[in-house]
Formats: sequence, structure tokens, C-alpha cells
Amino acid sequence: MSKAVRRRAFLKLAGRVVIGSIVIYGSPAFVLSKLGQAAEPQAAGANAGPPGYNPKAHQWVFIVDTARCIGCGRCVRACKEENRVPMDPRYNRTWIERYVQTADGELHVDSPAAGINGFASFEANRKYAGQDITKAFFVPKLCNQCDNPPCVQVCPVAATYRTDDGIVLVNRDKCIGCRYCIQACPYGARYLDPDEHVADKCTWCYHRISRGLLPACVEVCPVGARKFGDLRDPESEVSKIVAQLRLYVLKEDLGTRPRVRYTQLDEGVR
Amino acid sequence: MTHLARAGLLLLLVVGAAFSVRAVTSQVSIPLIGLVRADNAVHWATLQPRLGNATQCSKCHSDVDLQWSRSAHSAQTCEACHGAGDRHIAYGAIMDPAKELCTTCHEKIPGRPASFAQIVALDHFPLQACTTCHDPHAPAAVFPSIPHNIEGRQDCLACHGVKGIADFPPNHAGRPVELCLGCHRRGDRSQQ
Repeated sequence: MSKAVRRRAFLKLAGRVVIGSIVIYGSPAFVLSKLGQAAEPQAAGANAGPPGYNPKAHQWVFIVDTARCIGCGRCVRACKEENRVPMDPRYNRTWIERYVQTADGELHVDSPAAGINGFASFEANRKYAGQDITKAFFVPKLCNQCDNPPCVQVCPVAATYRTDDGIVLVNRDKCIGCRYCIQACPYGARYLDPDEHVADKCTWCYHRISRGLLPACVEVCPVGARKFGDLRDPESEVSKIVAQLRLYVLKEDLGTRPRVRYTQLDEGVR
Repeated sequence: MTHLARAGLLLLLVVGAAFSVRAVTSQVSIPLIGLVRADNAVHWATLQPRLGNATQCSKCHSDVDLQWSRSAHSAQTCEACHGAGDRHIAYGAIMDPAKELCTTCHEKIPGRPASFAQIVALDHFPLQACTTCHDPHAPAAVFPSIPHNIEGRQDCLACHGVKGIADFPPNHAGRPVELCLGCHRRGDRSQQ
């Protein structure tokens, strides 16, 4: 008798478990997938932008020829216009540094307003007047799109990630603005967007390269100091440069495996 | 025993539900929560470019294109000096005049490669505008034909007397600029 009651109690419980699990497992997934479907047309419309872009078919590379850069700052301005980066010189996706070695062995580094107005102003050059300069050169900088990116490793909410073509992007919806990635980047390539309070960085103009255009900074460079292309295309200029020239990367010892390659880099450049 | 089993089952259900929610949110983009990784990359890829390219500009500005495309400045795009052209192309917004000064690129400063064309602005006709001799679209120096009118050219000695540009007769040396117009007058060719 008591055995039968136990069986009944068991069946009651089992029934509750089955119905309960359907309700609990099923309904949130159902509701969320409905929400996802509602969001889909928007995503599909957006998809119309770069048709047929296959990230897996590209391996982008960026080459900076420091021997050609004249420090005019057009790349900095074009980047800000293209990507709506605040004009405030504290926020930059790309910037230019100048390295000046004087005869007394001092290495001077300057970057007035991140180089957006160039380096030709009187104020920028006053300290070098009458100095014996042994060598001087410009180094444009931008995100290195590392193959082993420290910024991606440290993000606590996985808001930043690498795409299949090797670009490190920030999911602005997920970013909580904790600045950990800004601290982690050894190249200082990230900043906190002052308007939306999320991390922002150079995307190598992902919207342009996925359409077959050049990044804005490459597009406007008057002297060809910035070169961009696809290593998967053996006929591209960058493939030939990579095959033929000696190229250097910044802070190689950190193991970040940067994908911006520099020609004629000097020891003092970090 | 049953209360323990019940609590255990409840815990199992809650954990299971949490996993099921996570499985969905990591695969489907929900505007309220955010885009998933794949859709986020598409979002970045579909932003609209603002800088176009020179072929768009030359469709209308063919006169400038003729000069520019044959000049030493043909290596750079229109938007390098004039700024992004998207609004101009989309709805005819007036372009800013070129924001860049010639010296931004061509002033001789530490760091510029020696092979690049550079001047010291204080030594290179400091009183003249660059555009007196140079057209930004075709920057090779062009000097006015002789005779030329003197309107807008107050300082004759800014060009005349400079070695190699506009030599004047030896007996003119040392004469102040005020004397020039005494003989060389506007519209009076007999005195030239």
C-alpha cells in the first residue's frame, strides 16, 4: 500500500519535472529567438553593404615606410573624418610621432596634437633650431591588429575579438567601458570614446577594406608612406614588399605578433 | 529525502535554464542585449565610407582634373587637401576650401626625407603668397608673362632682382621699390 503511494508521489513529481523543464528551458529560448527574428531584417538590410565579402579569403597587412613619411598629418585628419573620431587630439585611431636624434645623443620624440596639423609649425620646431641633428624621421602609428592581441585576452566581457581576416574589433554593444584593454595595449592604440563611453580603436577602416577600398589614411597619404593590401594576393604590392624587403614590427619581444610592418625602423622607436 | 531531491532538481532546472538562455544569446543578435560576434563584424563592415576617390571628383571637375592629373600633385587625392567629399557628392554641400597650407608638407623641418621638395618659408619669397607662382593643382612654378599687369603685385622686388627668377638690368641694382612705378606704369607700355 505504502509502496503504491510512493509510486504515485514519484509519478506526480516526474510529471512536474517534465512540464516544468519544458516551461523553463523552452520559453526563454522561444522568446529570445523570437526577439532575434525581429532583429533579423535590420541585420539583413545592413548585410547589403559589402556584398560577397568573405573574411576568410583575406589576410590583410599594413606596411609603413618611415623613410617616406613627411609628417603632414593628412592621415590623422582623414581618419578622424572617415571614422567620426572626436577632433580632440587626445582621441586618435592613428597618429604620427617624430623622432629626432641630436649630436649629443639625445633622442627627442614629439607629436604635436597627434600630428593632425603636421609638424611644420614654428612652435614644433623651435627646440631644434641651431641643434646638430644626426637623424630624424616620422613614424606613423595605428593599431597593429596583433595576431596575439593582449586587448582581446583581457576583456572581461568578450566585447573585443578578432575577425577571420585578422582585424581586432570592438563590439560597442557589449563593451562596458572598463578601460582594461586600453591599459593592456602596449602600443597605446585604444582610447575610450568620450561620447558613448566604450573602447574604440583603429579597424583598418573595416567598412572600406570589405568594399575593396583602401583605408582612409592610406588613401590620402601623399607620399606612399602607408601601404595596405592582401597577403593572399601574390601580385599585390604588399606581397612583393613582404617578400623582398626587410620589415620590422614594434615591440616584437612582447610576442603580440603585430601585423603592421615598418621599413627602416630605428632602435629608439617603441 | 524528497525535499533534498526537490531542491536538487530545482537547482538543476535553474542551471539548465541559464545555459539555455546563454546558448541563444550567444548565437542570435538581440538589439536590447547587443549583436553577436558575427553580426558585429558585419555591422562594422557596413558603415558608410565618407572618403570617396578622385574618379568621382573628376566627373564634374574635369578642368581641375586636367591640370592635376599631369602635375607632381597627382600622387595625392583631392580629399587629402579638400577633406571628405561624401556630403558634397550626396547633396551638394559646399566643400571647405583646402584646409592645408603648402608649408604643412613643404616646409623644411627635421624629419622630412631629403628627397622631398622643401623650402624654408622665411627665405623663399616670404612676402608672397605661394599661389603667386604655384597653382596647388599644378604646383610647378609658373611666372607671369612679361609684360604683366601690376595689380596685386605691390612689391616688385619680391620677384624682380631675385637671381635666376627675374633678373633686372645691372643699373637697377639698389633702387628702392618706390621708384619702380615711376617708370613702369600701368597701361603705359612705352616705358617698359
